Amino acid sequence: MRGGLFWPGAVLASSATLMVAEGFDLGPPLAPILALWFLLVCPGVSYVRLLRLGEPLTEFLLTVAFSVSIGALASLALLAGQVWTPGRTLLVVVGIAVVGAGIDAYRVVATRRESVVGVKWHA
Amino acid sequence: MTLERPVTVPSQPRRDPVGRSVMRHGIPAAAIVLWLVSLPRIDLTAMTDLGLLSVLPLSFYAALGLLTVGFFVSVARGRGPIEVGLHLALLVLMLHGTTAILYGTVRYSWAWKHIGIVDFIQRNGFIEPEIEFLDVYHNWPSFFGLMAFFTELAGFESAASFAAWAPLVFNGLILCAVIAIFKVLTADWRIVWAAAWLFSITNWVGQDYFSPQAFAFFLYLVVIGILLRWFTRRPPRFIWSLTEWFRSRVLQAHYVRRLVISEGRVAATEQIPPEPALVDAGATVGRTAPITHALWERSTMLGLLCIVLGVGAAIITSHPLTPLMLVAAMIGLAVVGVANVKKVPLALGALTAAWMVTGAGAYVGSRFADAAEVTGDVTSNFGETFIDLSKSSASQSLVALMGRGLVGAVAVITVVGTVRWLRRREFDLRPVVLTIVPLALVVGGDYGGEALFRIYLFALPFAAFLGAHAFFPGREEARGRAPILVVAVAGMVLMAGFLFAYFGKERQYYFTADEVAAAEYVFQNGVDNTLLIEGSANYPSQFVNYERFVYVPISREPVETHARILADPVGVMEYWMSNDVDYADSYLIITRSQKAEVDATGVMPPGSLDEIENALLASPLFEVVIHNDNATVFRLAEVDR
Repeated sequence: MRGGLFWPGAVLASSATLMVAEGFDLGPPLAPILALWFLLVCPGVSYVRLLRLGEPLTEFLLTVAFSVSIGALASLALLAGQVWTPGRTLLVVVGIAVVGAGIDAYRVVATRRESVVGVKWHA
Repeated sequence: MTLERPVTVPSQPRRDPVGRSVMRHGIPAAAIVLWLVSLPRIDLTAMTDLGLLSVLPLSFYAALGLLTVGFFVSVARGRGPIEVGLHLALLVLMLHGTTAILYGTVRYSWAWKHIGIVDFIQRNGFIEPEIEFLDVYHNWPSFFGLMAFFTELAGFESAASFAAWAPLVFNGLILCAVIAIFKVLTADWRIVWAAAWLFSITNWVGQDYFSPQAFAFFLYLVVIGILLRWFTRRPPRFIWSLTEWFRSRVLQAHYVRRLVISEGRVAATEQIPPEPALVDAGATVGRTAPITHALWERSTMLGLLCIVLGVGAAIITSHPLTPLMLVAAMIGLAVVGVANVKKVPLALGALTAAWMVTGAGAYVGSRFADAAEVTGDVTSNFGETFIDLSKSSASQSLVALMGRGLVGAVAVITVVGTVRWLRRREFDLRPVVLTIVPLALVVGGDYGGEALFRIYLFALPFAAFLGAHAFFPGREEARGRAPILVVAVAGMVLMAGFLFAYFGKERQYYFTADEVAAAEYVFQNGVDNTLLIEGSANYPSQFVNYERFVYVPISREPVETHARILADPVGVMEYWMSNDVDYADSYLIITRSQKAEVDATGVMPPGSLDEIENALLASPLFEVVIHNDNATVFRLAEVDR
């Protein structure tokens, strides 16, 4: 999986785009593509990246499985509480995705800082 | 006795001349062209009792045949993953995309019922675990909640807008998951690909439609993949001794050295260790990358466990059966001593139990006594599994026999493959355990006659892995032309069985736009507590406002009632539908797909629904609300109401 800040950026951009799209009631064909991408990838990708597995097929499968699981469990929690609406579910899932992206971005930045410090120390 | 046995080391794909390259890419290209040419030539209205098989043109079969030959040639010649993977992707597209493209409506009646649960959530924003009808889905609602969320997010009015594509998506994801599992079990790519192909063309039981079980099955495979890759270890000494004894004494296979072949030449000889490390963090006897736990950070393992629990929770709350299979699989691995983390099955077992007494408590509580009664009774899970061949049409009997034959063929291939695998000294208990464990379902409870299908489905990935060794027992045997031909022919025979078993009931599973329109009229216009009499339950039903209706499928009535209805259709239906004490309104719907099902399965005499329909059409007591080529909807005439 691509390193650096690409994925945290992609998750944040996708989340923001989806929220805006929902606000403007964007219908097919753009909304389904955006929704599918978001639900299959965004909630889980950051957490899977934290594992640093280095196996593309496994990372893909874990990302999809964990992402849809997060979406399903978020829906379940709201359904059980009888407060399910698409908007609330979106907020919960986006929240989880953004937190993951934040942790992932922090890890990337911290790793870079460590390597810079290491280089200076060695120098 | 000393034998030398070659071992395959994955080699780089060789550079081929341009002509060969054209040949290699030409086969999948020709297959897809043939498939695309086939699609407009398929006349769905001409479908007979043999389902889609009766209308598929020769070019469709030629496309599949070409793909099969191309696939096995590519695998045997050690082509790269993109080339071989392309064949598999095209196979999934042809087998599972064809109906989605051709039909334009969602295939299979149960998929429509699932759409109805999504619709319920969209309208109400909650679930009703104690609802009278289809309560099981309200007790395991995660999949439906997710789909309702997606439907709204995507701007669709109903999940019917996209559910037709579910088999293609699920089969694609499931294929990726099984490939990932096979990669853990062997480094021999020929086995990985052959097993994936075998799985794809023998997975005919149709649990891939828009359903929680397909969703949960994909998640199940991902969890099993993680467990096999990171949380299994070498089996205890006595297990190894037992398998070694079986291999050497029963199979008479004694190898002390083996050849390492790379680029088609002997690269080295290798001494087999006295006690081979069968499994070490997912590595099989020197055939996968030597990854050990020490190389993985503790945080990574902890993260993986969190993902297992998260995905496990989604499985547990989506489908009643899959978590039991998952826990059983993990217990099976633990019992033979290869599970590394014994707390995971405990945690998932506890989560499953917790969900059963809380979220699904309403369902489990109401059925606990029935379930306890049949637990251990093997016959309870066989009763409804098979159609009665004495009553079904000749074509449907053939379709049923092909399905059963395919199961038998898989069993034989699995046994042959396992024996050949043992001879290669690569025996690994994990796939064997995971093939056997689903059998526990037979005695584990009552699954409405679907147990055998579920056992087959859950055992299939690992049976396919074992069976693939029958196709490629050793490098030298697969290199010659004859074995490739034999393997390709075997692949095509299995494919033929799959086509019968999977597409043989399409006359029942396909719904025309007319049928959907008629059903939609009923479901949109029915008020609360409406009686809906159906020829059979096999039509696009319950996909909107489903909870407003009380359903009475004529085909499920007792034989005596059938006789009474056929003797006096107008009288009986008028009597049923005029019951305004119990029901606010009443409809009767008869569709083409209902007739197809009733005639094919023989639950009523052939033409029964036509007789009822014609009698009602001729009667002034009934008002025809909708009447087209494929469906008729009746109400009582205004005078009679």
